[in-house]
Amino acid sequence: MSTQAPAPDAPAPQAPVGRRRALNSTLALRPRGLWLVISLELRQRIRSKRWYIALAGWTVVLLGIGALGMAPTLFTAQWGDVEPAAAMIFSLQIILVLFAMLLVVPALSAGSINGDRTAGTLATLQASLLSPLEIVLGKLLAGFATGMAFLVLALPSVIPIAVLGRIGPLYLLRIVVVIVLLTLCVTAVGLGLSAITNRQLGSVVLAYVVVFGVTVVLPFAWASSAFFLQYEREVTTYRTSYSDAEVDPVRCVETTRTETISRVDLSMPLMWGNPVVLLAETAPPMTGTYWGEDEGNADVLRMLKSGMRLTATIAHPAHNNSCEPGTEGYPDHLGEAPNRPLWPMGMALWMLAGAGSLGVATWRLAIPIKRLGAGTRIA
Amino acid sequence: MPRCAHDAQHTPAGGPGPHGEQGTGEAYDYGPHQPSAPPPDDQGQSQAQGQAPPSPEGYPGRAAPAAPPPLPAERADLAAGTAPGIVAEQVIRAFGSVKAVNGLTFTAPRGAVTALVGPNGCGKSTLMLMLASLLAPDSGRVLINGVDPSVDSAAVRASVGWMPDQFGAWDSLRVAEVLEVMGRAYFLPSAQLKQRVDELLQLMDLVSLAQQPAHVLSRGQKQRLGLARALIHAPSVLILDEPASGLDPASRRRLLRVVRALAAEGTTVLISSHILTELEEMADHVVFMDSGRVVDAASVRDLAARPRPWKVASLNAQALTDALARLGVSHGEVLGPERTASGHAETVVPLPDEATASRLLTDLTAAKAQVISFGPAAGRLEAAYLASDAAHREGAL
Repeated sequence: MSTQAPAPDAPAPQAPVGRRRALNSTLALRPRGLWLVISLELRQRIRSKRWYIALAGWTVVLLGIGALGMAPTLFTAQWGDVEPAAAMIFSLQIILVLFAMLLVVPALSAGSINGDRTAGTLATLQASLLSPLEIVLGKLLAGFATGMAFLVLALPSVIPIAVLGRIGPLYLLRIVVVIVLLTLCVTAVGLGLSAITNRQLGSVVLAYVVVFGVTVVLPFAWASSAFFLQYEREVTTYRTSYSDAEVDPVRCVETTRTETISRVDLSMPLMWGNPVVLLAETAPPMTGTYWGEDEGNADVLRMLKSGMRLTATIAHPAHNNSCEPGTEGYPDHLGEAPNRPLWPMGMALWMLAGAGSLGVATWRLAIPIKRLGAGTRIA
Repeated sequence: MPRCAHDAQHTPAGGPGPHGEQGTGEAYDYGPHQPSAPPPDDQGQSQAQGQAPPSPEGYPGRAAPAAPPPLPAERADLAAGTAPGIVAEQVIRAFGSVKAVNGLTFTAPRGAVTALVGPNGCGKSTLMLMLASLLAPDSGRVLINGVDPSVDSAAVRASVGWMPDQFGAWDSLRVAEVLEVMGRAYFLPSAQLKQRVDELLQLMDLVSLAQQPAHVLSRGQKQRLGLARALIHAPSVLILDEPASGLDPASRRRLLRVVRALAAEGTTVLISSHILTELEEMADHVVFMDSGRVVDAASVRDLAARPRPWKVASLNAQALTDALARLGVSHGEVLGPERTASGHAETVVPLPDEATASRLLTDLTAAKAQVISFGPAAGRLEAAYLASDAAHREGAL
């Protein structure tokens, strides 16, 4: 046994070269490596009976809810009444699918890193030539693919109702795209939480807290902000006056008074990331023809979208004008309230959260590990 | 195990033992001692190069005699001028306030098996994590084949096979699939992968289990799979953390054969185990660790020249007692045949080295001690370990 000092010709560490190599090693992304992790994750799931049970239960429940929603209408209403009812049920069913996805997806991803760490399989992969990015992206895509299986199995319950409600294919496509993107982002957030927490249960609960917070808590906070964002100001309203129609022509009458208004538009960022709001953004406008879709059939998503867009510009004076254009005294100077979409901000937030989570997860899996959280075992 | 032998195993060399040593309590001093070296320093820097002065105590527990000629593998390594397989230099790694590894320095040569021995929590597994490129040292550095994992982690991982102490497998995967996945994780060409998997299944006697899910394997079978997994990419450095844990005797023999064969092929093997008798057969070198640092390091061959207790069995208790007294040998209590499992009179004699043991045997025979058996009461590793402070602490082997 020799215990001498290292050989003199042993290479001394070169910090910049080392950092560059470490970065390259961490961020290497090879199709073979990525596919290996994806297939490893999926192979384990497809061999588990509980996944088949969960998928079967999911399909039956959604089909049952769809049937229960439509059955009374089909049995009691005239055929002409079925379409608006189906459109309404369709929107409710879609919201239900969204909520169900938000329940399922965190469970798919939020335990995949710390669960593997507990099982002792993560360190084995880390010690191999797979890069942290390949491990993280592989787990993300495997979790996402599993989530997509749930979405695909939800379609048989949704599509018949969509047909009955004459829901346009583009509307349906937009809905699917939003759910797909949200699934991807929530999976990524769950993965990030899984990387920074020691216990699987902890990260799953945290993922649910995030989803619950965005979906339920923040809307309550937004609604509550109405009480704190009240301002008194002079409001000028424009109404058509018919009182002297026989003597005078119909005219637009201006009335100014001091009112208290709630500036919930200021707290609107709280709602940007709300999954239901994002889903509602896919709906066509309440009125007007929209790329071959009908203009009638109100549904919950359409109403929600209109409401949110109105609320986002609540302080605009044009909202206080109920006169018809061309009426005498019509306030042309008010212009029109902007119809700004909320989804770019919402999706950007989710994308940022997802990308950030992936970055954190990759960083946490980078080796050699310099700082180890308290109570964390590598293997 | 006979009571006598059991007691002897726990007798620190040179100290009073359960047999109640008679005489001065010093070692049998039957002729000149071999030149001894002082104990190594805290970094495990052995100074046993044959130049150290004799120890004043006669035979200190950690004294090492003149260094034997290098092993064949070492000679080849020196001739080739290549870097050692593993170098750890002043490595420190702390978890919070606990320093798991504290200024550790050692070198494991290529083509040899180096054993890490120490009590639970002495930092063996932490050291192995650093060598496997999973954990960075707080200070100091490790080199694998001359490469620092913090500089080129991928190069180190490509050359290291690591078997953790706890086997983690993807439970739903079959045994062959586990190996296949690991081969792909090392980007082995598909054409070679199947052949390599078959070889390893054969090597580790897992052929009959190849299509079984990993979760049905016994602990020993999982250990074999773990070793096969570590070997999938034919690493030049093999790090085995408690590989013999849970193995049946046949599997342990297989492990021994595999490890020795790998070392013979030039692989650097670092192995930790609490089963010292097997390590003694397996290892060329041993590094004793305690409290995160190397407290002793030697080749297993060197250990033969270290003090350890020897058990003497005789057909006649009185003859043995008289012979020992005539020779002036300090020894433990002579147990009568009615008190030993062997049915012979037995005692334990602490001796400085094997040469002295040989001479004592000759002299006992000449003194008509009616010796029926004579041999070490503890293995070389065990005796060396038991002579260390670590052996007497909570969590020791």
